[in-house]
Amino acid sequence: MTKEFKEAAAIQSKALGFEPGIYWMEHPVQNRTPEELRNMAKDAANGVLEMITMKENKAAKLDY
Amino acid sequence: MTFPNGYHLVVKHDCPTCTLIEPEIRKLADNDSIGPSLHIYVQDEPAYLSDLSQSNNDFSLEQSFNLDIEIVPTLIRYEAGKETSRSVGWVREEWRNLLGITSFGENLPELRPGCGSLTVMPGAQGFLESRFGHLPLHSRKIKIGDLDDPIEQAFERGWSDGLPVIPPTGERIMRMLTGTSRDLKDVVGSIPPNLTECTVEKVAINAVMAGCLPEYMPVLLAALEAALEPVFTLHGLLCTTCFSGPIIIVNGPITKEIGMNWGINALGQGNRANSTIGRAMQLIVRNVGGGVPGEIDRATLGNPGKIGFCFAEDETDSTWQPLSEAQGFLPGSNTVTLFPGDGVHGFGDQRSRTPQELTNSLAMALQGCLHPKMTEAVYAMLILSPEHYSIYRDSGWDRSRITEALMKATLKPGKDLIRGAHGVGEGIDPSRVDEMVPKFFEDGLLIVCAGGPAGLFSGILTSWTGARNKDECKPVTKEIIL
Amino acid sequence: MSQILYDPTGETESTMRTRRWPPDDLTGKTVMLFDIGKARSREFLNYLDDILKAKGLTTARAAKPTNAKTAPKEVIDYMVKEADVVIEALSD
Repeated sequence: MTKEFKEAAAIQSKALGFEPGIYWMEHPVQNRTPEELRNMAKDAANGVLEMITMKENKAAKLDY
Repeated sequence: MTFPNGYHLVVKHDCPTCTLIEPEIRKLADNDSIGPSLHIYVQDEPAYLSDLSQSNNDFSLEQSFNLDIEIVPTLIRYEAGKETSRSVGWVREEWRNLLGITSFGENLPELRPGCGSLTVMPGAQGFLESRFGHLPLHSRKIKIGDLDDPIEQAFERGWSDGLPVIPPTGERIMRMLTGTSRDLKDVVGSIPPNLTECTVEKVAINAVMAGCLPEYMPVLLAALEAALEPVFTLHGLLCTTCFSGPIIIVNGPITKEIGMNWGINALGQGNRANSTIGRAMQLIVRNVGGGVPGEIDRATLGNPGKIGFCFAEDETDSTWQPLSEAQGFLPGSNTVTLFPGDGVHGFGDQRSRTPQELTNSLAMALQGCLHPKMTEAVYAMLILSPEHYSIYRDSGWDRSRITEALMKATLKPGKDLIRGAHGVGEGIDPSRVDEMVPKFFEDGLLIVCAGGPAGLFSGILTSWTGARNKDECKPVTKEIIL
Repeated sequence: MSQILYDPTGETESTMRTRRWPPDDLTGKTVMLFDIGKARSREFLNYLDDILKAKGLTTARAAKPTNAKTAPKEVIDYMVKEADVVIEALSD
């Protein structure tokens, strides 16, 4: 999720009673070139992998 | 409320019969057997009978309401915790029997009718019912202090859309509920984004706050149900970064019955029904659903219509097929159409004289919906003013022909629309470079008639971009059930 | 004397459910890449899919038809059946 939506994510999480793990990315995404988007995926990959395994025992918090 | 055993007398100073019997009241107060169990309630004047220890002020009318008083003076006897007898007005024989004093009121006429109690003044019953009665409402009661401003309280509690709201008192809610035959416990649906169940009662509370009249309730309920149809996608609409909000277009005889505006300034201010029905729906989204700007509502700019946007179609010209019929409803049906739309984009053409000229001109404006180089990404609603429609009408063009002509006129060569064309990054897939590309999906252009009789100005509403997936998000028309 | 107003809100509040802990590692597990339907989501997930596959992970794909609504039941059922973990993207 892009960083502009931290507040909205926190509010919706509270309302729905569920706090997902969120990896925050730079905003926006819509106007990136394919190369830029590929690099963003590359940068995100390790962080995302950490969140979906217990290896590093990390879980994202909703910090806003 | 319970009353002690004894005698309960309700009077008011502004009642000739009460003042006539005042000497007898004073005798009763002094009477050794009656006096100690006599309770006097004075509805108006503080000084009246105030020297008597049995006298109580009932300026709030709480005792009078709970004793069910319609006329003063009324004398009631309570025994074993219950009312056993009552005399209304001054009827000497009845008072004697009730009090057990055979010589009571000897110097008074045999009977004299009483006066109306303050509890039956116009408007009093509803107010007293809400204040002292048991209302069948289930919503949480919020007690605010007598010196607190209820309008400011509503602001502080986050109930407002930025404008003052009408305080939702019990009396106002009960009055609002008279506008629908539906049970107040009926669930209309779950309001996004929090998916909270919304009852008819909650609709009525927010309708009060918006300033609606009870007769608007059927329209509001139908509009809310239409908005909650999955294909309208209210959740996405209220979260979007786009401009859009729910726009309500009303058709049918009900528009006249409830005094809606389809004419001069139809999209503007000044008409209560137009201004408050849309507002009520948005208050429901905010208060019941939790759709609050700056929180879940992420609109970059929004538009003024997000306070509330509702108008009636002009059906006075019988040559024009109304939107309700175009959407498949029978002539004369009362309907609401929910359109997920932006604010109005103005169109002015004061020179085109033929249907073809006007079509070409309108097509130029329609091309700009969302972005001139984006296609099949939005719906549009053309609000055709009477003067512009007359150009079509006078040449025998009906809705179908106008729509077809506009769809054709908004076909554009792909080479002008692809990303990068004309030095603009936005646009359609470059693979469509050799196509003639329609601006809208096949059913993507709706037309209504509205506006004042003078002015070659029409309006265009662009839809929310959620409509780019046309099967998942589209306008919804629903019948209004009275 | 006090005034009584009636609450116009939904009067509900959810209790927070605890998220299930992720697996210790992803060996033999399926990582579902779930496209929420926004523009560029599929493209982003394509790049991420390539990276995860290059790391030797097993991936699967799912998508909802529009970002504007919750996923249809059949999409959710598919993910529940096939996925051990889900990465959904990209909310922008």
